[in-house]
Amino acid sequence: MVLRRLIFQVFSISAVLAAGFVFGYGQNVKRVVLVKMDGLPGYYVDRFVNERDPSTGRSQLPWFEEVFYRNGTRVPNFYTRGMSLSGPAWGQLDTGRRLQIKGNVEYDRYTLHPYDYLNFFPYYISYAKGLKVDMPAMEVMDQLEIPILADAFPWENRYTAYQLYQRGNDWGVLAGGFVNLYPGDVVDFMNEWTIGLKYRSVPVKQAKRDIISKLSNRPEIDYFDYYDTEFDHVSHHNNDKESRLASLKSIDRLIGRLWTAIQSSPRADETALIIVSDHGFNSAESSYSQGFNIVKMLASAPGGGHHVVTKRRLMLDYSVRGLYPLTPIIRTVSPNSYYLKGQSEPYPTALVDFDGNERTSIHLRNSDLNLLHLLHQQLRSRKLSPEVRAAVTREFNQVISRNAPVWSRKAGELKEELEALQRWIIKERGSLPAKRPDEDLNRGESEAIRRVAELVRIAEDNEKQYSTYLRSLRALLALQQQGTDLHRIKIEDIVAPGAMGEPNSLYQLQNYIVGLSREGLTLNLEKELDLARSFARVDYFDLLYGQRVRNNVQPKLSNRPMDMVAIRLPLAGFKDLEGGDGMKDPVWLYGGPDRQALLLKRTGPNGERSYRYMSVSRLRSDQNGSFSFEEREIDAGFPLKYYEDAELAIDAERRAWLTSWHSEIEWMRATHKTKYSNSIVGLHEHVQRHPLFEEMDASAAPADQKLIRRFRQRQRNLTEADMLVLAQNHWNFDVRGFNPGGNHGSFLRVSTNSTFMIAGGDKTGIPKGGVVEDPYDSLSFMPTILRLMGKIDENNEPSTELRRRGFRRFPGRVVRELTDAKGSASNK
Amino acid sequence: MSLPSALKATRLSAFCWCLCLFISSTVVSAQAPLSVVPEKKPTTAVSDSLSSLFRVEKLTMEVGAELITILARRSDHEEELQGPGLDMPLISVLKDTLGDANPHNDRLRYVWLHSYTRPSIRQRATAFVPFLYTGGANRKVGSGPPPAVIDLHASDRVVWNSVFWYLFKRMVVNGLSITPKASVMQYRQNSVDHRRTAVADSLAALAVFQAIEGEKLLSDSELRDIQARLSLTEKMFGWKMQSENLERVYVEDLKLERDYRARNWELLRQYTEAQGLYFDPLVMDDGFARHAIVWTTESDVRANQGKAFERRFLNIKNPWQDKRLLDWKGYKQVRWFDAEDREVDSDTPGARAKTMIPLALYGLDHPKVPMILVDFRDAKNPKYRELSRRILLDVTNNVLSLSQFHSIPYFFGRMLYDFVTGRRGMDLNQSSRFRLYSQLKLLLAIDESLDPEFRREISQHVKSASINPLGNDLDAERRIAVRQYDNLLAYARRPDGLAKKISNDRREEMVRIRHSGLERAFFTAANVFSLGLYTHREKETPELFAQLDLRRQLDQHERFVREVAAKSARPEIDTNMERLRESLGFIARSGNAAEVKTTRALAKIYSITGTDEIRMLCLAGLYRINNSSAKKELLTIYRSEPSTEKARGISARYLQRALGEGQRISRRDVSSIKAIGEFAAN
Repeated sequence: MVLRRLIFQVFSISAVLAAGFVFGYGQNVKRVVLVKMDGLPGYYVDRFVNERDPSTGRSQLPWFEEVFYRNGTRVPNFYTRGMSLSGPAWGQLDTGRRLQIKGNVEYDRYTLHPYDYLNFFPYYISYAKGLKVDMPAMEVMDQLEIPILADAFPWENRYTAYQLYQRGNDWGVLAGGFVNLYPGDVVDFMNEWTIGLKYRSVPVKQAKRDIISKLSNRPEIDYFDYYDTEFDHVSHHNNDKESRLASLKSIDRLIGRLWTAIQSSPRADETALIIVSDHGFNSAESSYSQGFNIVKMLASAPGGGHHVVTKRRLMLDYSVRGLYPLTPIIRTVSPNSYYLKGQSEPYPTALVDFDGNERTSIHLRNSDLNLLHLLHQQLRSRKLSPEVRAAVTREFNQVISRNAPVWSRKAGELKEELEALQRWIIKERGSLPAKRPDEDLNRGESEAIRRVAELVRIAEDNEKQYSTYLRSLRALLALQQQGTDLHRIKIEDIVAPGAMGEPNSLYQLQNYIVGLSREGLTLNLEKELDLARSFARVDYFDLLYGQRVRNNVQPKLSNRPMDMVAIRLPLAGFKDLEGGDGMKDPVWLYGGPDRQALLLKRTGPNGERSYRYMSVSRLRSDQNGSFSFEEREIDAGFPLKYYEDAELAIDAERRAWLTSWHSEIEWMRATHKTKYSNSIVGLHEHVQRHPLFEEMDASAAPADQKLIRRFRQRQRNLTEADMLVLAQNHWNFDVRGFNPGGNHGSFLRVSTNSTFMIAGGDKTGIPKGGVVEDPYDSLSFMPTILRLMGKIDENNEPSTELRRRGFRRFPGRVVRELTDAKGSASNK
Repeated sequence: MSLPSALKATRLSAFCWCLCLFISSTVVSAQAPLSVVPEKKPTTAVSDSLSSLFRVEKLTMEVGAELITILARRSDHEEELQGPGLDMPLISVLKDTLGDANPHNDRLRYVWLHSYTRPSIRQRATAFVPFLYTGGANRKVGSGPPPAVIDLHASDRVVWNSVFWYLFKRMVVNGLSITPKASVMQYRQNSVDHRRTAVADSLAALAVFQAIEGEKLLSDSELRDIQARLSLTEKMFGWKMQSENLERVYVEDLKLERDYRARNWELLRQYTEAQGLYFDPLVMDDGFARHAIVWTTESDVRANQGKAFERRFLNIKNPWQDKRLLDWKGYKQVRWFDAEDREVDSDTPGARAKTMIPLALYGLDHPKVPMILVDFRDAKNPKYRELSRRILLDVTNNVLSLSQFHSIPYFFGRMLYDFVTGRRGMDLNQSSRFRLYSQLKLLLAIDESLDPEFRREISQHVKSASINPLGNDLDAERRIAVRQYDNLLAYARRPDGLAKKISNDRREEMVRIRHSGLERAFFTAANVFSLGLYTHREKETPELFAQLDLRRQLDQHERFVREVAAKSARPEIDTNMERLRESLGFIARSGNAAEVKTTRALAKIYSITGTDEIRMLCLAGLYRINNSSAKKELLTIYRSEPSTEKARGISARYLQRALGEGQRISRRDVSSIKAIGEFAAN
């Protein structure tokens, strides 16, 4: 007995010590103040830290220099992993997980449901009505069971500001901000009024005041975050040094005030001040960024005559109606539509998100749905000869037959998932309190109850919307079986209004049916419909790449607005693609018919990722989904332009190196300083699908939960656009207004190089004057912070407490130079 | 309805009296009355080179002031065409230095725009004619000094002018019949616009001047202050702007201006592109394009006949339906373009020639939309666009006497109209219009890239767009500027001229040293009720002069200290410490008259600094400043927890000494300070 007890005691002590070692390995950061700056490029900060202000003789940004350059560590080669756009980029920084949200606006292809992650107004209105609790991006994350950094701290121990991934809302911040617009003195107020009261920054400034005061007054708070978009806003509008420097100086003063407030707080020794940005910014003092109206192009006859859906009103600032903030989606009606004139309301055929503006994501309605719609219109017309009518009917049925396997499978799966969702709704509805939450609850508790109610309401909406789509899909499939008289069928019964259907294949995008040809329906010798002659088609790759402008007035800009188009191609369509096991779908970059690339990726048995660049030309797809292309020897001018980039950091021969397999970190180190930087990684991150629940113990989950998770995965997949179009340097696709100052959204280094700097008190162990030269990306941010706080172990596995809160193992590389006690950040 | 004749006569006489006063006050406010003093010898003039665009001259005056003048160099092509001549004087700035080398007691005072004239009798008479929207005549310039555009010394004169005008309008003008009322209102509007134009001209010139590299004889901060003060003339409470906020005013204006410019550049490019036209930004020497020309080509005109044309934002007629363009007799230009549509030299291999026809010239520094300044096919188009709004305003304001708050339907109707036109973007913003024409005039004066023939054509169009009879003919501006500069120099060299005025201004400044706030309020009232005829001034003595010197230095040090308090998180990190020590030291030595806001600034600096020396200087400053707020701050420091024993001791001693000296201290604080004394004694 004694021995057993002794063994047990020794074992227990060892376990405690081991746990202490594992979770105490990170430095003693116990409190963090996180400054989130939208669109602040690391290189731009560095430029002004190193420039002297003639009026003071000090750095233009003295607090950045003092706090992060002298007393902290910076990561100058920190990049957005994926598109340099706020929605996706903050999503990755805030969650530490692979990219799930891939735009500021996303659309569901089946239901036309728009996810607008940036529009604060509907959120505030819904919050005031007692409906929504969190911003839309947060609701999606909750559905995906992905917690954010703030969730690592109990509600009572955190202070969070207004932001894209916002949990809950404190009206007190807004009210306090408005009260503080009055500076306490009439003349001062007159001065402020004359200079211009900035209502937009009211909550931001109040958050700053709150944080500064709570640092001393609320020692129990372990996590503060502050979010500011002012630099991003100014940089979109102004490209001049003076305007942007003024904004930077304001951030610098904020850093100074926070740092001094931390120093005088009781927990200064264990507090870390961190500044991080979601992306960089492509702004040049010598050039304005030029816009190209892709909506107009898609609505034009050569562009396909699409009725185009956007989430932002075109020329918003010049429209009276643009003031209404609750517009769900905007339809731009095409006067050039081939077959849907006057039907923009039920049948838009293109969905566009252009935010960030150096890129645009385009969904097109499935080309086969267009074909069915056209054939149906013809069948309802009395003008068809019997011969043609018969051919059209046969073609109609063939289209259904061709798609039936996929449609049937998806209809079946969707049915199962919606049934599971219905059961979940009933169960959750039953557990919700009948009355409004008790007023005695604190805000965090009442919001938690409301959050569940809102997720149930969203699920109800989902169930309703997908059921509508499911009905039309089933009706379409039923046509094939019953041999119904097609001209009696209403189109809205078989093609759901607003639905884009399945994603287009490469073949469809290269041969996209936009309407009847000038010849009209034509039969071939076999009395079948001659598809080539009967329909007008567009090759979107050639069309996009071929766009030119005549006003080419800026020396550094090309007269071609598009740089390249990126899409993911199914691996199954390739024969003999070298790469072995673990190959993922390649990303195809179209930079003209002769300048294309395949970005290959494979994953090793332990999850290690490696990539290969393959220069190709004339890649085509046949109707069966098989790809053909010519492999080309790489030289200058291929997409990403690595070959000719002087900054490519490799010792080997370029051609051989670029066309070989290398690990992710090898690619990062070799390419991060080139013009296109870590694009090979970023494009894969953006274009690939990242399974959501693969790391979860699926066997332990109840059957309904598995089905609901499958449904959530499906929803994410349905938001994937057909094409990602990337703009040339200093071009943008903004049609809401004008962003001549600069833009972001591309994979160019200027746009992806973001800011990550950290400094802390004596106990935190954060190196002073350190510079981390190795490149890192946004996947590294969250595990690094949690590691510094001792909340995850060496393998990025979360502590028990975090696991209980829903955290899982983080896939990103921790910045070892910060967390390693020995410290390997170089001191400069 | 007719008024009784007696009342009519009273109103008419009142009108005449007020009109005389009004005109005289305009003159008085622009230029103080001169007294005749025997002439002295002229002082030394210094000339400095700056760039190919500008040069600067400095005239040092014996009275202790500098007259700094910015001149636009005469361009080479002008010399070729017109022979050698004088550079064009643009702006002069008077800096009152008190005759020493200490920059802390310098004060920027007047800004003269040399093309800005006091209107002639004929111009004034024309300006009275309602609905007469025609440009100025070619006036002669006399021998008097030009009127200053602005007195940079902030004063409440502008408020009183507004109050008087309001009362005058309510009591006299509104009682008149339509014709005289419309005349007076028309004159008033023309007069206000005349000054606005001068302000805009000054700002346009200074903005370009500041962006040019080189020694300018005015520091960057002085140039920023001048521009900030000029832009504040348009704002309701601009006169009340505190000097420590001028930097922010300048930066915010700059941001907004560049935002407009960039946005309009892009808007015009996109809409030009969409209509198949050519966009041609006119880049000035400072690297910014403030204007752009929209062109078409002969071949496009032929090819696009009958095509539809979207005129929103471009505001020109459809060129594809204009038969005149098929046989265009106006200005044309041949340009060459490469395969990427980039303009290239004619000898570039593969270059294609296009014969370009100008359609319109736009100004870009306008809110929301570019503003059409020249329509090469329809000279009256820009003028009519401007007039459409002006007539509407003149009819409602001058004829119908409808104020904004006349009635609820009118209020909302007007608000809706303004909102919709503002939101959708109409090129009707008055202030921006003045600035855009000013910039264009500057461009025409200094830009050498424009073909002289084309420049003349643009000048003709600009002339025809003028609607203010008080303005001057564009062709005459150079002559007027040269002549007015000569007059100003002569005025500066006369002892009874500018020197006398500077001396008077200093004596006026001395009132602040000698008299209490109540007394000064009385003097202001006397000035106001005498319609500016009486101005109280002190008699200049060496003692008062020395105090003026100290007061001015204190003003500058106070400004710096307040700026630091507003911006700094810790001065040791983000501030010029040498300058801070100097300013705090000055306040500690001579700051007894410093303002309440300075005391708050000192307390703030005390709380954020980590340096004992700075803390001690703040305490000394709070002791020195003789007002109750300073002692309250000192008392707060004494009581506050984080204060060190040393700081508490020093605060206590300062407080007791201040009490002993009989400094201004609130009653409650007196008893607290006494308690400190008793506590210390026990």
